[in-house]
Amino acid sequence: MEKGLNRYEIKRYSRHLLLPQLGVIGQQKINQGKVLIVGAGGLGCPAALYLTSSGVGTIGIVDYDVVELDNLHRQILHRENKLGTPKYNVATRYLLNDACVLCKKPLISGSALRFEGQLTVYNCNNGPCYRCLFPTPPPPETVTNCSDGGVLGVVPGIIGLNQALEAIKILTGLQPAYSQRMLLFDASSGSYHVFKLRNRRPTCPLCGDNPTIHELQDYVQFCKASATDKARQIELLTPEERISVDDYKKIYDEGQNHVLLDVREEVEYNICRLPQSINIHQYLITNDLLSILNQIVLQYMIKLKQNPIYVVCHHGNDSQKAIKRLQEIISDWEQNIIYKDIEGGLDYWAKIVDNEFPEY
Amino acid sequence: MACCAISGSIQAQYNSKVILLPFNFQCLNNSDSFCVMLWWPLQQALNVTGNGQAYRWDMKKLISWIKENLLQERPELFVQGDSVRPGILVLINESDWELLGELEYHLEENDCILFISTLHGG
Repeated sequence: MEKGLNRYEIKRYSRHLLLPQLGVIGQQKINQGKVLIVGAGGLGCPAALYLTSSGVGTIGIVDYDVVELDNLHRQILHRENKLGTPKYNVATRYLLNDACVLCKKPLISGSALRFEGQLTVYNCNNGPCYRCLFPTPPPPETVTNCSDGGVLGVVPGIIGLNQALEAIKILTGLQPAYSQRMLLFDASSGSYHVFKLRNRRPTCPLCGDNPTIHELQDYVQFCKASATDKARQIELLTPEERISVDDYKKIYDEGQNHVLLDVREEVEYNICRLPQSINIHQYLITNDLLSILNQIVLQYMIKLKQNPIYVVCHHGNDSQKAIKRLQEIISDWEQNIIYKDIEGGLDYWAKIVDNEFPEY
Repeated sequence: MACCAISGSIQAQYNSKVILLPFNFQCLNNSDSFCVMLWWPLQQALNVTGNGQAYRWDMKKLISWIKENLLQERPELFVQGDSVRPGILVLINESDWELLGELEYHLEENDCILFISTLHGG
């Protein structure tokens, strides 16, 4: 800190130096600052850009996911030729929170989904940690990730830049805006809401007055979910109730009369679909919609007698849930229908059977 | 009037079609935006007569009312036991409900209740 900025640094950071809140001392703190960016994705990429150009001395970037084409609309540091290079979720948030509390570091936590973004600074200025707010992880089935729910690329960008801003303020000793506060950004209405959060919990097992957590834990087990943004594979049905994409391909190629029910959302169906499939979103399969189901049954009756109804979705999970629902709803009045789930869904179809079929 | 809103991220999980808006609720935003704002006549939430006595709804009552009246199915995406499921943050007048007594908080005139689901994407 004794040594001043050199001529180049003065020129390079002059606009920062002119800010009374930063000045030479503030810039020196930035230059000596260390920031770890976890996840070089939609949030981490823009944050890294600005932290670097602001002169942060040491930046670490951690990521174990792979750069994929369907992520490039928001992960702006990657180019198409870097696809396949090794590149997050609920378990990661608890892991980072615990690591930050144990190492006495502030955590600038951002997230984005669809048209919404959120940002909170945890474990800073005696504010709450993530566990104070969320002592219990959410049930895995209630967590939507970007690969299922979609995200407008600019939204994590905006949140990521706000994270970089908070990092700069904390490094220079300015007050962060979102400690014990949550920023909610809604891209649809362009509105920013800031909410006051609870105080640090004296009973928090991690940052409370008598902590019981002194080291990192098994977070995947704690959250009962995998740490990545990838779709999980579930098995609700018996092997007899499922069919491989290869076997379905034979039925498809032979032109066998059959009914193919696609239970994805309409937006997904519009992206790509198998010919002749009928689209009914799985959550619309309710008692109230028996009339729609009647149509399927009608087609089923006309086209074939003993062939099953094939059910398909994106990854082969929702289709199994849909079959369970169909079995429950229809069994009362029509017990002879056999359903077959297409294992791995359209994802496997594209990977194994038809390389020309779009992946998303 | 008091107001209650369920954030877009919770709405989206319900595929919007399965959340029923009762007749006396006015939808101020469409389902694409931040939240669906639900307003209801004051007397329904704030001054319900039971056992011949007037009482105000507390948050527990509001949550169970939402469960019974708005959620046609899959209540587990919103409620767990008497409260909201883990991962949903409840804000009363722009403050964390923990600061105000959580389930025991009694609704006041002009209160704004917001249920938001924490996001995990990035």
